[in-house]
Amino acid sequence: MNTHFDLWIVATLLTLFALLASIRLSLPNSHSLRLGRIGTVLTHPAWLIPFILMMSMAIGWMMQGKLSPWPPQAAQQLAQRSGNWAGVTAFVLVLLVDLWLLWTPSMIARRYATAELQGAMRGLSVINVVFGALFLLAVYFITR
Amino acid sequence: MQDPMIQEVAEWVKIYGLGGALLLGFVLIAEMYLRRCEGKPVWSKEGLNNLVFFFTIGPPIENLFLHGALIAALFGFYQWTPLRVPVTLWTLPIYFLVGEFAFYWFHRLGHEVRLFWADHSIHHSAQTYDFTVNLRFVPFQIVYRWLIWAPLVLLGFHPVVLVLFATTAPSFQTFCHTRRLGRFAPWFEWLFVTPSNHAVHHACNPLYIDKNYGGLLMIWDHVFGTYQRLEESVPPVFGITHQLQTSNPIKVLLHEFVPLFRDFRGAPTWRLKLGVLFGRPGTTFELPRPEESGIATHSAAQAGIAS
Repeated sequence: MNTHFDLWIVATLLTLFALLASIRLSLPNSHSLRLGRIGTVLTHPAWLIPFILMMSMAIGWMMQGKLSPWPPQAAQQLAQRSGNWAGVTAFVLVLLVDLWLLWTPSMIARRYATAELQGAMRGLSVINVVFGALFLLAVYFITR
Repeated sequence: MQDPMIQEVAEWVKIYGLGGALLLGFVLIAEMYLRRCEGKPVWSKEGLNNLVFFFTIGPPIENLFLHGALIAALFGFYQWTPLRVPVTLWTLPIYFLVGEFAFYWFHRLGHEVRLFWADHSIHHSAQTYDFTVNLRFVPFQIVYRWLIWAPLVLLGFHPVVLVLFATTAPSFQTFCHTRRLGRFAPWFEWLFVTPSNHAVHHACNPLYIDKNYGGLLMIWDHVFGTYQRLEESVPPVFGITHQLQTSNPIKVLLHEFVPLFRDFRGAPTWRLKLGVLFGRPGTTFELPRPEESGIATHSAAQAGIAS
């Protein structure tokens, strides 16, 4: 009996749940969505904890050229080194990092901002997209 | 630093630091934009002051020299002890909780031992509470970090994981130094360090002093009774009980070391001298502070008056 268990499957699941939680946080007015018990569990912000710890690391790897900011390329890089499940993890992780670099923080800021700052927070989305895209493009073209 | 393992840890810390620096850069851009929207100067005087701390005693010194020294010292203990806590998927939650425990006590030492408070108060002397406070680094925290981490390494916890954790909690708190975000869901506020929980930690109102030491989770604050939620009726007064009225970085750097040295010299007995070094701030032998330093008094803070 094969008792080998690929830990990258667990990593894939964790990053997938973090992606679902991030998508929920990235949608305007998502807090008013009714998702049912399973949907709420799957998109719970608690799934973001491992990701919060991983995000700086993933960005550092990108800056050193060890991880592509383009998910399919990142998947290829890691799959060659550590197997298919590692590739899937890398794909989801990079998608997640890209989403956070481009969009999610400004949506969280808008959701929790005080009433008088709501107008300014809309401009924050533009800043989020511009600086996130500049960084990702720079990393992509410099390190590819 | 010849050991390949030590070099690997140092490399991981460097990569983590790179990513953290980029995120810090992004929150500072957001801070500048929001200040402009609020009709304030893009950089406050205190914010510029914080930049000086960042570029002098911040990452250049901390990452290049002090973290290297910390890693090397911890590995010395690790090689010496026969105990081992393996690093596996199943032990990572234990490492996480122990890392949080270590951060809690390292942070609490920084507040409740006067010698260490002289260092940590530099970060807390900021009277504004925004993302630029992240830049307000302190020079000697590696010393009391080492005091807490060393016994854990002797118990067999792997220094790699501990040191990496040491860098994650502050990078998480990068996002907490702001008053622009309101309160999150009650369960989230209870469990995690949030902007409002951390605002309590930075406030000098009597209700808020020496509270909320957690790095990422508030659980150890609940266990040791130091958790305090932000009360709507008590707006936080940011800064320290002896508020500084100078933006001179040298004076900010030395603002607690000078009275510490003066009180140590002036204490009549060795017992009192040791108390000055290792006692709790505000409870040790103290000479009257000179008026010229332009400090707001503790009673002003007690009355909730922002300077």
